[in-house]
Amino acid sequence: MRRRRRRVSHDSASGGEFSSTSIFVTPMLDMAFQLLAFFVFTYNPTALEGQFPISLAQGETAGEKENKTDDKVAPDQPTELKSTLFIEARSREKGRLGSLRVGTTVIEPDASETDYSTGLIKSLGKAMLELKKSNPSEDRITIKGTPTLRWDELMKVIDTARRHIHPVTKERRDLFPRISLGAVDQ
Amino acid sequence: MAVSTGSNEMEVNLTPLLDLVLQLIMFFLACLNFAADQVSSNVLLPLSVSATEIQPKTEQEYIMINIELVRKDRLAPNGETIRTPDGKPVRDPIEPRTFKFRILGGEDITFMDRPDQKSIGLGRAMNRMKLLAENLKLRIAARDKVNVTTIKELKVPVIVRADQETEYVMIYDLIQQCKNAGFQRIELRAYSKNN
Repeated sequence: MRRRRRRVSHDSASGGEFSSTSIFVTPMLDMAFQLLAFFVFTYNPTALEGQFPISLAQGETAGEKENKTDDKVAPDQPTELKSTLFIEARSREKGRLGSLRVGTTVIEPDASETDYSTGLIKSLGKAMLELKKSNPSEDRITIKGTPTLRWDELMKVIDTARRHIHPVTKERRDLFPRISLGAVDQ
Repeated sequence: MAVSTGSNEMEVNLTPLLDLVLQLIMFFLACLNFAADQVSSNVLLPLSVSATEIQPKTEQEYIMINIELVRKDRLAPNGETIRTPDGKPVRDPIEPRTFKFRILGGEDITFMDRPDQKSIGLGRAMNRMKLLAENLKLRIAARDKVNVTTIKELKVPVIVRADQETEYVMIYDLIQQCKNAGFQRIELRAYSKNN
């Protein structure tokens, strides 16, 4: 305010016909550049994350029997599960997916895939569709893994069990969206 | 002491001062430790097509378990970082493979991927979850004025962010411990993949 007044009086003293007021843009510009630099340097685009709930398979937690008799049990608590509705994923070297079993059926890798694990996942997709067809009302499946199995390999199995994506139309269909995790020895 | 002689007035140039202040602000912002943010950006999550979008701030409270496999950028012979086609740096685990657990409020639990160290690291992480559960139960008991022993289930979700190369046994044991400690809601995080 003081500056403005001073500038006005200076202009009129120098005989200017119009008294002009000026705003100092330099500090503002500095600030803007600083902020810009700050955001440029801190910009770190992270990949979009998603999440899904899971539970543990029956008999895997302490105090489970109490839960089963409790009326207020949460909807995602383990309920009676068909013994055939489970996938067993075993690892091979370096934690890669080695073999898959759905119920009693051993999954053979799809011959069209060169990568063994990818072939297994592809065959599992087909097996899951069949399983859903024979159990249309079920929405829960147990996935058991061996201790050394890599997390991303198991995630592929979980993905295949939860949702089917049509290879051509990309249409998504929920298969068994509720996953229970279990463990199996090596 | 500003001395004015006639119409010659001295002006204080505020611009350097403003610059300095802003520099300081930037310094403090850069040094700020985002303690409230529980997400560790170093965790390389697995990809998932079925993971659903995270609802913004639906939960007041949550406990995040970050399981990080310590990695470093892969370098080309000329010293440049090798990047994937979408511009992200390729990161390889360091040798010896080292894991870092980051669980709400506690210090980072760092250990090497050897059976003896792994069990110690996992044990410490499990103790941390047990402690968190006990604290939460005490808080809920005080708030609702009930006996702490009557609280069996905790509604606070536990979110697991684990590196894609983590062995399943680590995640499974931790989840089991969470369930035993009373946490009923477990969520898994993954990078969303659209196709």
